[in-house]
Amino acid sequence: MATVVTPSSAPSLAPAALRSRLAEFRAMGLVALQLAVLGLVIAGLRIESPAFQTRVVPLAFGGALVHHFLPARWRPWAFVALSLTGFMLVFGGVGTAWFVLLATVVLAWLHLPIPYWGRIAGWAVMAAGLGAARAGLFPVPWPGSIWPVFGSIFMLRMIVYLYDLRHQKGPTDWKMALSYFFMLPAVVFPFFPIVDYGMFKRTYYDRPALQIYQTGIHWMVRGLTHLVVYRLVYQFFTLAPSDVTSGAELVQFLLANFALYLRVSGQFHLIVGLLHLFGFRLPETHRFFFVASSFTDLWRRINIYWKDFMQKVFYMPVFYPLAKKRGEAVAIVVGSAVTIFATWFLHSYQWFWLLGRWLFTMTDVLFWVLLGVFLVMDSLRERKRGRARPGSPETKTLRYQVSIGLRAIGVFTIMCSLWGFWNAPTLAEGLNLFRVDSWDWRATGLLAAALLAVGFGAGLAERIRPPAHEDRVPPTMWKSLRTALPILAIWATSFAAVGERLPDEARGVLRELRVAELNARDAAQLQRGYYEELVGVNRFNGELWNVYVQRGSEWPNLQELGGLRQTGDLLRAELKPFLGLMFHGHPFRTNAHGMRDGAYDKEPAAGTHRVAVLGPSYVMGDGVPDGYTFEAQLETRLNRERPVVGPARWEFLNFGVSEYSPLSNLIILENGRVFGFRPSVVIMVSHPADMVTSDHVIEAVRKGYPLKYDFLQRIVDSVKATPDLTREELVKRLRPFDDEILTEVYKRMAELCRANGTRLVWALVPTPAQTTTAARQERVRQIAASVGLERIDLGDIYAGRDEKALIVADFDKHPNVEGHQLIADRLYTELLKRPHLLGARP
Amino acid sequence: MDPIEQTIKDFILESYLLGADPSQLTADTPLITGGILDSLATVQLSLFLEQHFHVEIAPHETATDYLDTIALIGQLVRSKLPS
Repeated sequence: MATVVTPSSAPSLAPAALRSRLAEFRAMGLVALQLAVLGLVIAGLRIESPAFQTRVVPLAFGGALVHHFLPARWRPWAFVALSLTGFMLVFGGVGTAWFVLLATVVLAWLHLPIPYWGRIAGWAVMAAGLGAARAGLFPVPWPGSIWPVFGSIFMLRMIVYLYDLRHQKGPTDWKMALSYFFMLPAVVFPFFPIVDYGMFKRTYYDRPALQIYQTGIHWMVRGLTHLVVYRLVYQFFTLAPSDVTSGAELVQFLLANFALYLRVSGQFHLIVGLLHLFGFRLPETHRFFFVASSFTDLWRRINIYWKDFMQKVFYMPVFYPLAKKRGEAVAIVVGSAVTIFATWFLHSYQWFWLLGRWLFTMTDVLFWVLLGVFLVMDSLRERKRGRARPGSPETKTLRYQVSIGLRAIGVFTIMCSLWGFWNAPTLAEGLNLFRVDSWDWRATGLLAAALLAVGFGAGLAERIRPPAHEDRVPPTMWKSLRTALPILAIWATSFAAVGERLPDEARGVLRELRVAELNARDAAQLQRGYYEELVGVNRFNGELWNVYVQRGSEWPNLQELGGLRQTGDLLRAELKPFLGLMFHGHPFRTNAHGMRDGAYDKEPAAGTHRVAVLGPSYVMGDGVPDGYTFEAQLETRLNRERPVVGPARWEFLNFGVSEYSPLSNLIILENGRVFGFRPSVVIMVSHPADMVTSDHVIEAVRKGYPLKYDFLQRIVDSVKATPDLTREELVKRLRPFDDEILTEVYKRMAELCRANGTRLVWALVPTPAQTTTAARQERVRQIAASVGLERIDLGDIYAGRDEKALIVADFDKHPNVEGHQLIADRLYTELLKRPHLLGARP
Repeated sequence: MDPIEQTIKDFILESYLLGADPSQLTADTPLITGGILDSLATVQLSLFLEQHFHVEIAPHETATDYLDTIALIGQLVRSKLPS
């Protein structure tokens, strides 16, 4: 381990030392300022998992500031303690205890005083046993959620550790070994760069501390930028393979597919940047990989840690002796073949530990074979002709930069095609991608623009190429602001406060900056590449994702998330437009009109049959992702199956909002919010809880809102319900009027719909596992019948079903995706029995 | 820089950074992680060390742990020379 270089090792506080100490405090203050902004932006933009945003980032950033002021000898142990605290915060006591126990057994075995190969054999037996358990061949007592993180730590990093153990001189440095296995970010990033153990030890505080921290901050900002760009590519440019029919779509598909790799580089920059805060001055993980000018250049730039791992453990042990005995050309061919085989196998091995199944597809095999061939060809060419090194004068000439640009265009074109092919599930689908019906000027234009950008970027990158390890000088105020301000600006503009004056299109883009996931239905159609599967924990391990989301204890409502605008009147609240939230673990977007729905114009297109759906939180889709609400599913199915003749298209508009009562629905009918969209039918979704509409009135009385309707004012006046009364007293006085209030609300809704030429349908849709009584459900039915409303009754919808399987969670009884599917299917059937509600031609 | 490190620096400048400013190549400049030495160059450097200093470089010593900077390479060579 290198000598620790830090101003804090000053032995006494003589005047010069005091000045130095003050300067150190000032510099750490600037580090703290930048970390605070980074933390704010990570939370604001919801970067990666909730566990990362709310637990690991505050722990790491706060911990790093304390860690710096500890005596140097304590720091590695403090890092281990902090990492274990991170495990505790994410996996809890039981999960962490299993980690520690498994780690203790594995590490104790590896350090037994027996021959090296004996330890390796024992380890192999242990790994095989654990692998069998990972594959589900026998049960294990630890929670399934820890497997991906365990696999990442002990099954891949262990290979490097075992290699170094063989050549280790001197006693084991336990504090560094434990730091290596329990690196804090690993707890939330199962897909982790293969950090080299030797490098990890060697670069520990080998530069002045503040310089290392500043480099780390710089890399985290870069990682954040990659993740934001990734998000925009993901939301706006990715296409499903099935959507690719024209040349322009093919170009878009291939470009976007390759660009999705930005998430890996973004995550790795965050991970390594965060480790810098604790003195681990690790090298870059990625470097201008989109503008690589040859395949060997790409191999050196993309996932550099993997390249180093392969080179150290597989390539050099084969290449070096062979080069001495049989010459460089033979060594290149054999060494590359071994390396590519190991890469292919270990990618599958990594897939197994993270996902629990092996990856074996023909497209995967072919991808690595082709890449191997290109790598060998490039290596042999470089051996013959040589290559310009960074910093050599040749690289500064325009001719060289132009040639680099042209070569980068070639490599980029081949890689985009290979990448698209690689990520196809089958060989046939991979080949089919390239069969397009048409090629027009748009395709040519898009392709030319992308390639020109790559070519220009490659030349420019060569011209401005910074040193490989960008040691940053200790922070100054100006540099701190320069780091903090751009990311703060991205974060700020993504919020309505700044973006309200922008056009709708721009607000739509800014909304997507805040949402990590695609509309889940769209996402399901997309092609999932190797890295896309591994970096998204929510996709590959629901159990681990639940741990990261920490359901139950972190379940803020929409109001707490800032999703509602208080109206200050009887309506109480409405959804804000252009929301982009993660709500109860799912993406939650609203359109320009504040509906949890897609984009709709106010005026329906000719031939469109429009239905407005009104109701409370489960109509809004609390607990399900965008696109999975029952009204959205109903709309999709109708337009897909077209079961009746008549309309060219059906549109179901979601007017559901959390805690809306029948009284809220009456208000939005009366104030024109619903009729402004000219629906042909209004479906008022009714719940047994409608029988306590008086609760809405009670809240209005307590807040002093004008009651707006004469019948409400009369009831309230008759019982002298005033704001100074307790809630219990108001309940006692107003509850007896529930029947009257609901009847009057239903009557007025029917009148309003009649006056606007719209059909009103009352649809009773109970929620699963509900606690409201059957008597309430029956009473609400009777009132709807007495008013003469057209009715759809789904009161028996859950008969014979396990209702607990249809709710979001034990502590949240909203219907889950399956519940919404059930409601959509049943409503579909009921609407078909009433074709006039679907606008069917007689 | 001691004579061993100076010899290594001269070899790198002549073989891979011809015409570059020698002052830019310091004892701590990252060679492998900085992209100056690729696998082939690493092997060529190792063979040079073997021939020039009459030492034997093991395959595992061709990694960044031993060859990433001129200082590290000098340290490796010195550890193999008879004291």
